[in-house]
Amino acid sequence: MTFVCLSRLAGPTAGGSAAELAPRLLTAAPRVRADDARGLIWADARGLPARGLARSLLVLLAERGGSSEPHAGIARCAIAAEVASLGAEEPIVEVPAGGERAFLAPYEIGVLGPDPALARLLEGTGIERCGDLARLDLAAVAVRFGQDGVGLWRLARADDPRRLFDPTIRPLPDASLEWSDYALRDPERLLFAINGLAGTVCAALRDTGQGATAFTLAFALAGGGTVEQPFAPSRANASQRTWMRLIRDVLERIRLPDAVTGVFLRVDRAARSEIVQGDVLDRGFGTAQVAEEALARILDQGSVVVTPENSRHPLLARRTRWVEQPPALVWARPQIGPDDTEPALALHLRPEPVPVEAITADRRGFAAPLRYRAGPGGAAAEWHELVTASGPDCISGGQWEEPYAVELYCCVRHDGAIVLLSRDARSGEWQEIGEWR
Amino acid sequence: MSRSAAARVLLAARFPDALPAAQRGWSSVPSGIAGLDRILPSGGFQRGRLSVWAPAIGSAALLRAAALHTVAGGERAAWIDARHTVAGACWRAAPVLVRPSGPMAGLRATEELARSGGFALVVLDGLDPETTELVRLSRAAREGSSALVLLTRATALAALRLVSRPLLAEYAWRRSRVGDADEIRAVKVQVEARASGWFAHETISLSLWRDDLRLSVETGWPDRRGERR
Repeated sequence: MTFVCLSRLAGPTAGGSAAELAPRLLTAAPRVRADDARGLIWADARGLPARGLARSLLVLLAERGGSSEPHAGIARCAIAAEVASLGAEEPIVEVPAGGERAFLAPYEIGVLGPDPALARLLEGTGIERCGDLARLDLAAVAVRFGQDGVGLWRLARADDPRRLFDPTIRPLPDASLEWSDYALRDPERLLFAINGLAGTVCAALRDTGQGATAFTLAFALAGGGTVEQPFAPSRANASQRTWMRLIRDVLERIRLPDAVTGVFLRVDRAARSEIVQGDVLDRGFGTAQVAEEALARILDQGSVVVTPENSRHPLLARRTRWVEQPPALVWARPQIGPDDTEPALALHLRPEPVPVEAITADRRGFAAPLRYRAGPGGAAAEWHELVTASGPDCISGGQWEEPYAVELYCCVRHDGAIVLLSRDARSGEWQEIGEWR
Repeated sequence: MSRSAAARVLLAARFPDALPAAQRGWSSVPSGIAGLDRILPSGGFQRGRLSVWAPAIGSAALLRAAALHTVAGGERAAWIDARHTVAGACWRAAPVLVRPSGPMAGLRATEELARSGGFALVVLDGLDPETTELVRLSRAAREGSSALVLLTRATALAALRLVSRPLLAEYAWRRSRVGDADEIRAVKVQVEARASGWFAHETISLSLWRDDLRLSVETGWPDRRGERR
C-alpha cells in the first residue's frame, strides 16, 4: 500500500481544519482520511502514480487560497510518509520502496511521537535518533523500555501497524445481455446467451480466487417484468460447466410467462476457494480434489452423501438418522482396522416392508413361520420354504406416539437366503422387512 | 468333464500364474479377501473395467469388505445405494455412501464417480441398467480408471461376471437346548468368476451381522413384549 501524507495545512490566513479540507481532495484521490488532532490528511495512492497524485492534491489545497505551504510525503509505510511530509524541505518527498528504515534513521526519536516519559528514558540512555533505536534487538528493548518501547522500536524500523484504510470490498461479479430487435422463446438459444454470461462471471470469480455459493439468473420478459431464479451450488465453485448443468436442469422445468428479451446473471454470495494441505504419502490425496468435485456434481443432481447416526432404538428402521455430508468429506482419512475389513453378511432393509402370507406352526406359544410368499393376494407368488426360523425377538414400545409390538424371526430359506420376517403382535400381519446379503 | 475343461484344468495346474491374453495388463483393486482375490483375473477388481455381480447372498458382504479394504489402503471407494436398503446399524462410514433420489440420479452418480478418477472402487447396488446405460457406465469406468462393480443381473458389456451361490449344507448353526437349529452363525458361499478365457471359483465363509439391540426395550417405556398373543 502506498500512502500520501499531507501536512502543514493551516497557514496564518487559510481557514478550515483537515476534516473540512479532506472532501475537496476526493476529486483526485479515491480514499482520503483526515487526522485533525495532528493536522494531517492521508490519501490512499495504491495502484496510482503517487507523485502525480501528491501534486494534484497540493494543487487542490493551493486553490483554497491562504498563505500555508502544505507538504506531501509519499511512502509504502505510514510513519515514513508522515516524517517525510513533516520533516523535509521540498514540497513533495518520496521515500523509495524498501528504503523506509534508512530514511527514518537520521531523524530524531521525537518524530515518532513517543510518550514523554519514554522520551526522557531514551534520552537518558543516549538514544537520540531513530537509527540508534532500530539497531537494538527486540529483547533488549523489551527489557529496558517495556511494551511502549517495543512499539516505538517497531516504528523506528519502519514497521507501522496502523491501518489507515480498510481493505476494499470487491463487488461480486455480474453480467447481463439484452436485445430489443427480437424476443427469445427457444431454450437452446437462451442457453447459448446464458453460457456466455456464465463464462464471464466465472472467469471474474476465478480471478479473485473465489467461488459462488449462491447466484441468481434473472430473465427480462417481453411484456415487462422479470423472473428471477436463484441457484445454490453444493460447494463454492466458479466452474462454468457446473453452473450450466444447474441452469440447464432448471430451464428444463421452468415455465416463463412470456418471451425473453434479456438475461442477467449475478453472484449473490461467494466464498474463498480453499486449498487443503495433505500428506504426500496419502494415496488418495492426489485425487481428493477431483473426488470432491465429482461429489459436488452428484449432489447438484439430486443425490445425497450420507453417514448414519444410530440411536439405541430397538426397531432397526427407526434407529438410524442419515446425516447429509458435504463433498469435502473426501478429504477425511478414516481409520480402519484389519478386523473391520472381515466380510460379514449385513442386513439390508427393504425400502418398504413387503407384506407376506405365512404358514405357521405353534412353537412354545409363538406362531413360528414354516413357509411364506409375497401377499396378500399374491396367490401366484412362489412359496419360500424355510429351513429354520430363529426367534422370535419380541419388541414393543411407542405407547404414547406410534405403538408397535412385533415379533422378529431370522429365517433361512431353502434357497439359502436369510431374511428377516416380522409379525405384528396386535394385527397378526406378516412382513418381510430385510435380507442379509 | 469336457476336453476343453480338462485342458484348462491341466494348464492351470501346470502354469498357475498364467493369465489369458485378454486379462493381461490390467491393474486391479484388491478386495483384501484372499479367496476372492485368488479367483479374480488380476488379483482384484480390474481398474477401468466393468464387473457385474448377481445379487445374492454374500455379494454385498464381499463388496463391502472390498470397499473397506480399498479405503484402508488409502484410496477411495463409493457405494451407491440406489434403493436405500443399507441399514445404518451395520454400515461402517468409511466408503462414501451415496443415496440418489431416483434411478436416473443413481446412474448419473455412478457415472460421475467412476469417471472422476477420484474413486478406486465404485459399487452400484439396487439398479438394473439397460444396455445403453451399461455402455455409458463402462466408458466412464475406462475414462476414470475406476473398478466399477454393479450388483445386477444385467451382464452385457461386463468384463467380469461374478455369481455367489449359497452352500446351505455347510451353514454353521448354533443348536438350542431342545435341539432346534436356533441361530445361524456363519454361511458358506461359492463364488464363481467368469471373464474372457477365465473361470475360477472359491468357497468363502462369511459371518453374520447380529443386532446387538434386538432384545432391548425402548428407553423409558415399560417392557410389554409378547402382549396379546
